[in-house]
Amino acid sequence: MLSGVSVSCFLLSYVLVFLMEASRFIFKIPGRGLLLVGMLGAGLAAHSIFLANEFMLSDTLMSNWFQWCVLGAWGLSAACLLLTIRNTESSIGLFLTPVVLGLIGLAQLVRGSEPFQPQTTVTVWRGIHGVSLLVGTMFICFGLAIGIMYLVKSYRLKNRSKKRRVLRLPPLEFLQSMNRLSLFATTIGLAFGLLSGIVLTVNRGGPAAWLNGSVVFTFALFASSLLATITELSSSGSLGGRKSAYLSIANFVFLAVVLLLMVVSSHGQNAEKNDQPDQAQAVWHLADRSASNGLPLVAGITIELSGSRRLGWEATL
Amino acid sequence: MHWSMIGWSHHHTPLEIRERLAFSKAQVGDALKLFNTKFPKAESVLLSTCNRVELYSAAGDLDILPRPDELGRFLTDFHGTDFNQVREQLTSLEGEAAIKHLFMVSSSLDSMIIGEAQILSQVKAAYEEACKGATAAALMHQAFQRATVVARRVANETEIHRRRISVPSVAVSEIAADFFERFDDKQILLIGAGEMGTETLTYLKDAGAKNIQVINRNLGRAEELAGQFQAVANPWQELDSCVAQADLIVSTTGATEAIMTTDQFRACRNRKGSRAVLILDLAVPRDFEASIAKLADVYLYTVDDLQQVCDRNVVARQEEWPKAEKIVEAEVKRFLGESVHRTSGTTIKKLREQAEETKQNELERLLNKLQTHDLDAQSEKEIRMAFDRLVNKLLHPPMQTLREHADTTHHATMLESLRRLFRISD
Repeated sequence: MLSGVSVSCFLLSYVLVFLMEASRFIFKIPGRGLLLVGMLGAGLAAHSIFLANEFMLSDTLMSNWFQWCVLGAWGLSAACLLLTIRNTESSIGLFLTPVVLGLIGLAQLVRGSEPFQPQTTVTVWRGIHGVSLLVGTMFICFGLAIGIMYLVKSYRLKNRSKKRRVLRLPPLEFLQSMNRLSLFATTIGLAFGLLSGIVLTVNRGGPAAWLNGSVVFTFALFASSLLATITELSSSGSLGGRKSAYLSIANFVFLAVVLLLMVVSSHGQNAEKNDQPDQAQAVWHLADRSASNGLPLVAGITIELSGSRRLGWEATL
Repeated sequence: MHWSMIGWSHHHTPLEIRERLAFSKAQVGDALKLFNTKFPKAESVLLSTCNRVELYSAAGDLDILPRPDELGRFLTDFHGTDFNQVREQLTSLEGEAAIKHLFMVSSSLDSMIIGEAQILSQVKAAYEEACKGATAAALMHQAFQRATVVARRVANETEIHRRRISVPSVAVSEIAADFFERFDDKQILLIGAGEMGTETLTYLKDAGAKNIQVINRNLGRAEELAGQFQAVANPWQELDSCVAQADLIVSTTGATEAIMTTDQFRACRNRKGSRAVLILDLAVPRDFEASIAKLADVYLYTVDDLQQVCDRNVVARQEEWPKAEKIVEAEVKRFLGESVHRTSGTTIKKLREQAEETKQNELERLLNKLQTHDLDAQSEKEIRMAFDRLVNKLLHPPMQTLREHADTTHHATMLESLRRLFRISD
């Protein structure tokens, strides 16, 4: 089915959408809203065809990191299209398309990565794990864009910006409700993702890498989402303020770390490959060196790339 | 078809004169009746607003159309004013200029505040009054119905009407709408019962607000206003608790100093948690201390902030003016073109009928004569076709010339000449 459709087709559409949104600062285009909807629609159509082709080729839509990222970008661009149709005069694409482009960029970076474990006896749990985490990821990315929009809108209203017509954004209340939605959906997605991940590990047997950096950070991400959700629920029903916007952005920072760790580590990939010395790995370490050599408690991540190269980060607790 | 307009407007006439010349609704009816008596063959519409008094008249023949001075005197005499005292300020337009002026007025491009929406309804009301008084007929129907269409085009195709320019309308349609998606589930508090607050509540009600509380030092006045807006009136002592619950506060008291200090505000908002609040402080001096704006999730707008938005919107409307004027000019051209076609259509039809009748008479006479010479069917057909061709060829050049000059000022003269040359009567 339209086998000529490649990543560059929908990537170009999204880039054009972004440029058209950015051009609001420079000149007026009559019917810009309709043009944006048209271009987003075209991009999403090409994106859907591409995913359908991928599915037909590999019989599954999340068999590797590349497909996972492209599918995440598809969900976000669909959300962007719906929101643009709802608010044609608002610059929603300006905030959402960079996230979509970022995910597509990440997809291109990991295009050659190993497929996820092909031989598994726990397909259903595996599916739930993948889909839940994908939903969580999409909503975190969505929350980032909405959170930034909220902060920009809030700043402009607070400072009585004179150029409100140049960069139009939906009402604060709408952004707040979208932010809430993203926080709740993220928490639910991550909860299902983690639960299914635990069931997967238990069913698989053998040693569990509970202290694997990606797993630890996913737990941290879930904890932060849960905290944000509880904070949001405890606030009043009306405009809840900027706290939830900051929490959404913080969630994204966590997600970025988790994604980095997952992509460079062997999470979800063929177990046999893990034993190879050249495979990049991320190691989460927590060590109390005080007992051995008098140094304070240290926590950190070390990403071991191929060969002897290492990237590391440590914090003294 | 001839149109004219005379009148006094805010452009050249001071308020004192406009006041003297203004017509009440009842007076408009009386004036139109009088016009009908005085100028029975002409049509008229009298438009009287606080910014203008204008008399539009029309007639099929220029001789019938009253002269500007006659019309001016007619209006001033009605009010018992000396025409010579106001003659200098009189604006008098004829033909295309009069039509353009009507379209500009109805599109609110000639208003004191460009883009104000009220003028179109005033123009419509004036036209309806003229229809009732039977002073508006075919010519006025065409002009005023088209004026409504032009006004709608300008409203739809430009942003001239979209930007609000009064403080209460800007407060609701631009500022509050930037915060809230809907108003029916919001707690709205009006502090004070001033005119500005009342007007703001009208806009909020239109936007769907349902839960409105009114608080005023004079409870009776608060209850009166609350009754008007299906709101709840509260005694002044409950100010803090009302502020604590509100999502949107509109404050318009006449207090000489702030009624809400930052500490007081912080204390009462803390009862409610961290939810955001929009405060529209429309009072002068301000009701809310300026430092309240620094609190997180508090958005405080003063009357100056709103006035700045209004001023920017006025400028934006003025920027849309050339685009709107282009629409009006195109519509004037179209309207006059159509009018010319309507006028020439009748003349051309009569000319053709006249030519057809002459042709038919001559043809019958000829065919009767030729019957004695054994005229066959084919020859008769040829003769009939030759007569048809002759008539068509004779009429084609004048018709073509009329069409070519349809948009020029000579058209009416040419049409008149045609009527006289061929003795075509209406």
